[in-house]
Amino acid sequence: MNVIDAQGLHKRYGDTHALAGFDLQVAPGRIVGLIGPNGSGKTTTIKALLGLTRPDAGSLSVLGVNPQQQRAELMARTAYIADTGILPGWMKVADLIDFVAGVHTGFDRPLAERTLASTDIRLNKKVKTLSKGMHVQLHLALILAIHAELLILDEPTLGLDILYRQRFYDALLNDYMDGERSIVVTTHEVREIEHILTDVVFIHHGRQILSLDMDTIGEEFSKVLVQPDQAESARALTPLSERPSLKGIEYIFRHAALKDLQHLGEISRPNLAELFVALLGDEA
Amino acid sequence: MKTFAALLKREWLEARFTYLAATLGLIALVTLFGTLATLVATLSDGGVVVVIERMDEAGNTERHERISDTMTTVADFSSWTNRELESRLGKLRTTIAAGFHSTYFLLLVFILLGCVFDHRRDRSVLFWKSMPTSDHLTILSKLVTPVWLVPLLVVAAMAVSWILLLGLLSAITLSSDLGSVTRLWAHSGIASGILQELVGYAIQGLWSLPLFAWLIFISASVSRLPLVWAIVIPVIPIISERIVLGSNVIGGFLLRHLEFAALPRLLPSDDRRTMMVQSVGDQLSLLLSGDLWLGVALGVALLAGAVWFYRRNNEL
Repeated sequence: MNVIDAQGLHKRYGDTHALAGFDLQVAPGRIVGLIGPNGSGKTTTIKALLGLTRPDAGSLSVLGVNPQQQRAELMARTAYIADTGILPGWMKVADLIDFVAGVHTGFDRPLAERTLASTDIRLNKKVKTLSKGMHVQLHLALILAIHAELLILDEPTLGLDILYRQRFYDALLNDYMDGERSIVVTTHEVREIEHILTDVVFIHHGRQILSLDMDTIGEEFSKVLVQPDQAESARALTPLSERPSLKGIEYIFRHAALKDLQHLGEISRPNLAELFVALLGDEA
Repeated sequence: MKTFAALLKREWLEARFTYLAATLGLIALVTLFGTLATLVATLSDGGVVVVIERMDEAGNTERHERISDTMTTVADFSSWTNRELESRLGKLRTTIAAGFHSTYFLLLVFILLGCVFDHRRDRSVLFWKSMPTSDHLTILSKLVTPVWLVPLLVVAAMAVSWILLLGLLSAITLSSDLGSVTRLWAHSGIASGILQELVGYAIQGLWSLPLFAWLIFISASVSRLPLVWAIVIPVIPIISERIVLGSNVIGGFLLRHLEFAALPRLLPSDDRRTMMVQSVGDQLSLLLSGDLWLGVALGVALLAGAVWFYRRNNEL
C-alpha cells in the first residue's frame, strides 16, 4: 500500500487554482522530491498531506487515513519541518522536549537529548535565542526522535548556509532512512537533494507534469552536447529544449534512441534542474 | 490524559511570566499600600481614599473612607463584637480581592484573545498542528488553564496579601496594645475567604463561559485586530435590538455575564447601586439558574466554532 495516494486533488483560493487535478503516489521507503516553481502548488500539496487544508475535490489518503478527518492519528506517524522556523520562540528547549514527550507516544526522549548533546544547543536556552541553523538542528533532533513513518519537509534548509544544508541531508540519510520510512521534500535547491532522491515529481500550475524514479530518468532522458554545425540534425529529433553553452549547444531529448543521438555529440544524463527547465521551458 | 496535561502545561508556560508578574505585583502593591496607609495614619491626620464600606454606630454604611483610618480603626477592635470584627475584616478582604479580580480579568481578556491568534501570527501553529493532539483538546486547554487553573495562583496570591495585611494589623495592635492579636486572627475569615474565592472562580468559569468562549472564537477566526472584532461584533445586535424592538435582552444577558467575570464573588444588588458579596451558597445556587446554563450552551457552541476555525486557519 502506498504511503501517500492522492488523486485528482483540486484546491481553489479565490480565483487562484492552487491544485488542478494533482496526483501523487509515494511508496514506502522512497525519498520523493516535489519540485516546482513558486506558486506551483507545492505548499498547498504539503498542507493537504498534513490535513492543514481541505482539498475541494479529489481523493487523498496518507498512511491509510484521511488527513483532514484523522489529523491527530496521522500526526502520530508523520513528522513535518516547514520552510521557516515554526518552533515556538518563547519556549525553552527543555520545555519543548517535555511537551513533545507529553503528547507523542512514539517520542524517544533519550535519543533527542543525545542528538542535541552533540550540538551547541543548550536545554535551558529559549528557542528564539537560537540561530537559524540551531533552530533547524533542534527541529530535526525532535523529528528524528519521533520515529515517524513519513517525514514531510517544506524547504527545510531555506536560509541555511551550505555546511548546515549538507549536514541536514546527511543526518536524514544516516539517522532517519531505514528502508521503510518515506520522505517528501520540496526545495528550490534541486541540485542539493538530487543525490538523495529516489523519485521526483514536477508540479506546475497545480498539476503533475512528471513523476519518475531517478533510475528511469537516465533511461528516458538524454542530454547531448552538439556543435553548431550539427544543430539542424539535433532539431530534427524534436528535442525538449535547446540551450547554448560555452562548449556548444545542449539538447535534451525524451525517448530518443541512443543510436540516433550518438553521432550528434557527447551524451550524458540531464540533472534535475536541467530537466525541470527543459520541461517547463520559458515558464520555469 | 497525559496529552491534555501537556497541553495545559504549555498554556501555563506561555504566559507564566505575565501571571506571576501580575500576582506578585499586586501582592507588593497591597502590602505597600497597607504599610503606607499605616505610616500616613501614624504620622498625620491625612490618608488615602479608597472604596470600602464602613458601618457607623447607627448601623448605616458609608462606602468611601480613608484606608489609613480603616487600618488603624480595624486595629483598634477591642470594643467590637466578633461579628463586627469579621464584617470589617471581610470588607477589607473583599477590597483587596476586587483588585486581584479586575486585574486578572483584564489579563484574561488579552490572554484568551491571543491564545490562537498569536500562534497563527508567529507561525508556531504549524508546529502545534504537527503534533498528534486533537483540535478539541487544544482549544479546551486554552480555556481551562487561564479560566480554572491559574485562578488557583490568583487565590493563593490573595491569601498571601490578606495574611501580610493581617500581619501589619497585628503589628499595629501589638505596638499600641489595642487588643488581642489571637482574636484578630481567629476572626480573620481567611480560610472561608479562600473557599469563597475558589468556588467563585469555579462558578465564574461557567457563568462567564460565553464571554471566554467568544474571545477564543475570535482568536481562532479573525486575521487581524482581534480586540476590535471582539467588541464590535456583539455591539451590532445589541444596538439593532434597541432600535428595532426597543428592548435590551441581548445587552442585558451579556452585561450580566460580563459583570461576574470581572468581579467574581460580587454581583450587583437588586437596585444595581452596590456590589453584593456572594456567599458560597449563593454562588453555588447559580448552578440552578437557567441563565447560567443558557450561557454554558452558548459558550459550548462558540468553542465548537473556535475548533472549526482552528482546524481550517493556519498561519496569518
